[in-house]
Amino acid sequence: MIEPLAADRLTHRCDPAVFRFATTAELGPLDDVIGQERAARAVDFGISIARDGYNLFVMGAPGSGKHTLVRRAISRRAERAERPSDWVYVNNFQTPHRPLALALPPGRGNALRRDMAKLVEELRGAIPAIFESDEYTARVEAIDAEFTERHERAFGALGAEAAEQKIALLRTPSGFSFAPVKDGEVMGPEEFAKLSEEEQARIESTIASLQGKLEKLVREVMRWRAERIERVKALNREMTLLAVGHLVDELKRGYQDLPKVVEYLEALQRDVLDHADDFRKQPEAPAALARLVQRDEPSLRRYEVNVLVDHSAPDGSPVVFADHPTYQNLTGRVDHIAQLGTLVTDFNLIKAGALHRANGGYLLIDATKLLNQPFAWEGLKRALTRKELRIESLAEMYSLVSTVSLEPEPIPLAAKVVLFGERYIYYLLQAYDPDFSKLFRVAADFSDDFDRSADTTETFARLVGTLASREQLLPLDRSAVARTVDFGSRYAGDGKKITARLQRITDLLTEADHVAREAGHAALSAEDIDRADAARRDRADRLRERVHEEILRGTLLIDTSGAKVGQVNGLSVLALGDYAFGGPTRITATTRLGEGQVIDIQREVELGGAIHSKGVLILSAFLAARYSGQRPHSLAASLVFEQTYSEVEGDSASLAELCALLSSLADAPIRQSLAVTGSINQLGEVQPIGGVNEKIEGFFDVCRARGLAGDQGVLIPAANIDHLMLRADVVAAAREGKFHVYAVSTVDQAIELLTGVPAGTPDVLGEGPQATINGRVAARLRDYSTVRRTWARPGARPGGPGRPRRLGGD
Amino acid sequence: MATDRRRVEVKVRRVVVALDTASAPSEALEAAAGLARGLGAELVGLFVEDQRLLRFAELPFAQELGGATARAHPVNTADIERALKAHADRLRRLLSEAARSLDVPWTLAVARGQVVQAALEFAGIEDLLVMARARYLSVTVARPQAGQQFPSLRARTVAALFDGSPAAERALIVAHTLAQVAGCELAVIIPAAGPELFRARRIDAAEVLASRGGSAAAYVMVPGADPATVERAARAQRARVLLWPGGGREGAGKAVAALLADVSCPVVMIG
Repeated sequence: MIEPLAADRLTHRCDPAVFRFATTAELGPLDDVIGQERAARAVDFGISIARDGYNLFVMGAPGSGKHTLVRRAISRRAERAERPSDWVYVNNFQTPHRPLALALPPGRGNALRRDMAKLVEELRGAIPAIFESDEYTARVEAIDAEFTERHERAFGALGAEAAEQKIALLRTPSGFSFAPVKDGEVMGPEEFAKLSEEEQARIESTIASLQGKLEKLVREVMRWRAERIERVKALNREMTLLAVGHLVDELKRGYQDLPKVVEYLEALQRDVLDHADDFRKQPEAPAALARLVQRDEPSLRRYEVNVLVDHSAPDGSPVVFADHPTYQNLTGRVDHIAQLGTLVTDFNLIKAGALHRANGGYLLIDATKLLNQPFAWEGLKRALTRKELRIESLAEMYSLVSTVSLEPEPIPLAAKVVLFGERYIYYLLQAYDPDFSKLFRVAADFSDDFDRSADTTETFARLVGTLASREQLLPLDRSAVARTVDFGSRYAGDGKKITARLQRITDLLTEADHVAREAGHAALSAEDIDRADAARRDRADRLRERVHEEILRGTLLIDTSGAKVGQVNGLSVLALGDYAFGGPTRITATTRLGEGQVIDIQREVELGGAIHSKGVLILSAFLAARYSGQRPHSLAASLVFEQTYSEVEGDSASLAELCALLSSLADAPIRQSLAVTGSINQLGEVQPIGGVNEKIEGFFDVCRARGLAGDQGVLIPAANIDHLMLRADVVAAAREGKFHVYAVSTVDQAIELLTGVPAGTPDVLGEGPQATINGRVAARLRDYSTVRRTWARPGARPGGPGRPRRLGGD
Repeated sequence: MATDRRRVEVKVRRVVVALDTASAPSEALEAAAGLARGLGAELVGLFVEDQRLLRFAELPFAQELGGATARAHPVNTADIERALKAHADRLRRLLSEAARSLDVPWTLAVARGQVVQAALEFAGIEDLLVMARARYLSVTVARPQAGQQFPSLRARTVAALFDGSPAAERALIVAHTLAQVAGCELAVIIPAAGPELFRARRIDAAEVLASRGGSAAAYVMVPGADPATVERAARAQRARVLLWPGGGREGAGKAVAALLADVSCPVVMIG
């Protein structure tokens, strides 16, 4: 018979004496993340390799230090790296809806913006001044005089030619006419009628001829007008160039190392020459009205510089965390301004996205947030695949609005993207998104816990001290550190491990700090940690308390004494968010003659999960293989978790279910003072399960409430011994012999403990001694097999000569 | 020619600006309105409907050629009358705007005949007569100058012919008044056979101006007072208005017409 585990094996307490400090205030800060060496190597590799597609996916549980480690690794590298270029958008004078992107050395984006603002300011003074100068006025007047003279001379000559032929050139309100003249006066109709027909014909012919010449002259005048306009325009350009040329030349000298900027300045100069009038007009509308009509005024905004990304600060490569990774926040956007009922925009309204800011550096994004934002994931992939940043409006892409927008020139993208997420997201993306593996080739997998050794415990103490210091908490004394180590192991569910989810540790310390300060302590002690932990459990304990109460009231039927055939206390865990608790559940089994079927009632009513069903099938196979190897397996059995009304999942009850079946078949009562947890394989070996501590404590609480009789306890898989981190009260009860934990490796060990009957060793036929459980089970199954064979004979009928009872009686 | 400068008085009841369909109205209206303002006179527009046009329109083959389109089309008397009426309306609008901008009273009169003769007949002894220059087609492209007073005159020059006569003194005083109101430079064109005469007349002119509180002016000597010579001098000074001491009105029609044929700016006739 298996002996209960000694009390000191029920937990893995950290001894405060191992620490050589009084409080953590004496310890130096810890900069490294503990126990994540593999992940750290992956992160270092991922951020150092400069190849396409080598972006990182950092996976692990929340609070496991992913961000801290990655930020630290990136910071070390980013500080040494050269600052990337500034990026600005400027007007494209040839195609205004396609603004130009210019790259400038860090810090010179803003310098260009200031230079351009200064240039415009200077031009606003210089251009009007030059157009108001006497020289300009005189030259325009000279042009006008020249053309006036040309007109007058041409018309005068025509008028003189007409006069020679006694015809007058008259100016009508809207044109010209030719009229015959006599004695210096225009001839009237009566006088004209008195002329001979030949004379009339001559006059009309002369007028027609003159009219033809006049027509040509007026057409010529049109050409002269156009010529005059061109001459004035050329003069305007010449005069404007006087004002602009030297200013732009000076700027070009300052940017001669940047050919694209020089090219832009040349285009700007050409535009200023063509639009000098814009600098001469002075809007005088009232302020309120000016806002409305601003865009109709000649706008000098086109000479401004939109600094999209400024790296003037001396801080190396940019490291950007995209806290709200919407599509637009990532890839940038083009804003619009409502103006007189329409939406208008220009290159000054182009706004940078996180990718722009991180260009040349690192972009950190939470994968869940990213995937929750419509189009954001696709937008990110598109940018990484194209290796360029192209600002595209979603509304336009999907034809949701029809307004004029921009197509800014794309900017080359060279950023390392780091996604943070849980493992399931990584594997889902790997499975379902073919682009993912091409774009995120480095995975850094953060462990949920790390090994608990003397070294790591000491390092953990420094980590705890660092957390306390960083969060401005009271320092921890040795006992508090030891208790925190215990908590870390308990949270990891393993006495040989400590959780790596530092957020949980930080929360505990913060709450303990509150407790300690209220108590007036100068440092955190183990007592403060315990109280904080208990308080946290208490806050989440409503449901556990309710279940516990129902068991004690007898509403949920759980026996903790006596013995019953086919009935066993199984143990289950209910996880609610970050809190889990365990408790007993009654499992019953019935057996009868059948065709080898074990009916899992949970599964039949679809309240059993796949893993649970698998457990039942395994134990069913175990029964058939062990006891009916040489004859038909003529068992029909039913298993059920009593009083459960929701889905049961997991195989941790399969040992209990098998024991209930064996009890039923062997007609051997099971001690109700014991509870069982463990999964079983087809060979009858007991396998480890999760939540062992919660399960044990759940049954202990019920037993203690009813009074510990000394025979109560729990059977657990031997493989779970290392995971034991039981509460102090459970350990104390075990030490006093009031509660027992048995570690079993086989079903035979379990059934012996539960029934008090030796299991026995099955022989090759699957039959054992009659005094053992295995012998009695084999005998029962042999009886079933015999009866079944009898029933299978031809002519056998229920109630007839073939009835089993009569045959058995023979 | 010494004169008691304090006795020189310029009394002007009306400033008459005479226009016909061949006149360039803008500068003339601007100058006339400025004078009316400076002299406290009434602004009177006189639109002279050219009698020749009406007579010509009665001819059976009368045609008009569009000044902008160069297309010929037949016209009759009714067409010409409608066009003249429309032209008068346009002048009324221009006159109103010019007068309103300077807050001077104004009227528009319409007469028939030839513009110089009709203007000389219309203007009284206490009236200033502003004659617009004649032109075939406008050369300059109109630019909007909303709200700006004296867009053509400001920072340009008002020229006055000064031959030392009382009429010339009055012309100089009027020119000085206009220059002050419109913010113009003043140029004094002095016909003189030699430097001695020029110096003497210049001193006279300066005294006239000094008596009115003015001093700055450019003095230009020309060999004679014929319209072509004076016009060249005025143009060289970038004059936008020329003050012409016209003497008596009787028999001045042909001389004025000859003057207007040569000058490139409005002329203010001072009797």
